[in-house]
Amino acid sequence: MKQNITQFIDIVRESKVLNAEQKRELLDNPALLPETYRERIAEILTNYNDRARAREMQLGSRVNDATKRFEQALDEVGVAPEEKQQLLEKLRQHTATLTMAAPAS
Amino acid sequence: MAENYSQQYRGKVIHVYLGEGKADPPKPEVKKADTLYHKHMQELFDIIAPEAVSERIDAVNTQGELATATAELLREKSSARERYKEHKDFKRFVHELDGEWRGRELPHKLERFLLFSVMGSFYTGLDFVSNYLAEKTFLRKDITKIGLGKSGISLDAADTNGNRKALKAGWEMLSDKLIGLFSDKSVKETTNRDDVAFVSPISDALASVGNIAVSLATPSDKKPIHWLLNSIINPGSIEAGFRTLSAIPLAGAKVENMYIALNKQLLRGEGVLPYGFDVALTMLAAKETQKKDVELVLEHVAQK
Repeated sequence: MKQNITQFIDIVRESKVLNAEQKRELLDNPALLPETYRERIAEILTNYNDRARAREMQLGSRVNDATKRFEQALDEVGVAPEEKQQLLEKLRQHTATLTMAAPAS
Repeated sequence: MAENYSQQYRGKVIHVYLGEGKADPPKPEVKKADTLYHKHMQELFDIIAPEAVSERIDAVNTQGELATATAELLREKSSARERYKEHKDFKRFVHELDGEWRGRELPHKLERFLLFSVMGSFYTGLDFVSNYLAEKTFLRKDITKIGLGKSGISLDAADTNGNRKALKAGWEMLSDKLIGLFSDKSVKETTNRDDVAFVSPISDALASVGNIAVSLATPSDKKPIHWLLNSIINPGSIEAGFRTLSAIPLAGAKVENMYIALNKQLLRGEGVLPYGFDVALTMLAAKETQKKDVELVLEHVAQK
């Protein structure tokens, strides 16, 4: 994977797996790192970000499907619209908390 | 509980009073909605938890890959000598070892050497001109006062009050700072980027300490070596000097590593270097004070 230093910096900055200290170390003076090493690191980070993005999309889609089913179930038992909205809002907050706690990065 | 019953009872009474005929029973769908909600939350947890675990495993594996890549880099760094035993090509050995010591390949070494030599000479020339201009204008021997009235600074040819020396040191600092700014600006304009600069913190700090050392410690301003030192010691020339030396194969790699390490210390405020500069400045000031004291004592003895 051929890439210049600017691309390397962008990849490191956008990495979902590196912590702040690791980013600082890699961005300290990237021009001093051998090109092959930079390429390898960029490849590893890009692959991880791609997988993380795919996981996020899959997770989002499954959560959306489950939420639609939940909405249908609420309609079926005849829950009032206001109460349904309240429950959906509560659900949205809980889901956000759950998904925020989930990513390892 | 009693209050609940009471409220329910009051509710029934109101409904009957309004003529609905019968009271509404407690809504079963509310309980159903809660049950559905909890069931759905469990379902969400069952979806999200395995993803979180798999993401964590992936992160650990990725960190492992990064560590392996770094370990391979370090292993590669010490292989030039091994390879030399196989190919026996000295030029190639120097080239590979240089790359290993630097952690990268430095292209255009000769061009860099020449370019930074010229840049360093140019900044030295600028500093020389600034010193020369000062000597020919406000630091001229026949000028006895700068400024008006009591607030003016009095000067004399022998510099008995030290004002000439102080002015000279101040001018040196000011002109050096301007040269440093000029070099940074010229690099920004040349590369068309705002996030780059020429002078690094170590060159700046060395120029500050060096200037004070030269201003205070050198007794005569007529000596060519003093003029030369005064002109060389400025951030631009020092930086160019570092970069010129860094362009030399092998030895330059060590200079470059040292230069990077020193800059890191200064930028992060780590190690002894930041304090070292303060100590050096204090010691120089103390040395000068001691010289003055000795001169005063000798003068006093001579008078007696």
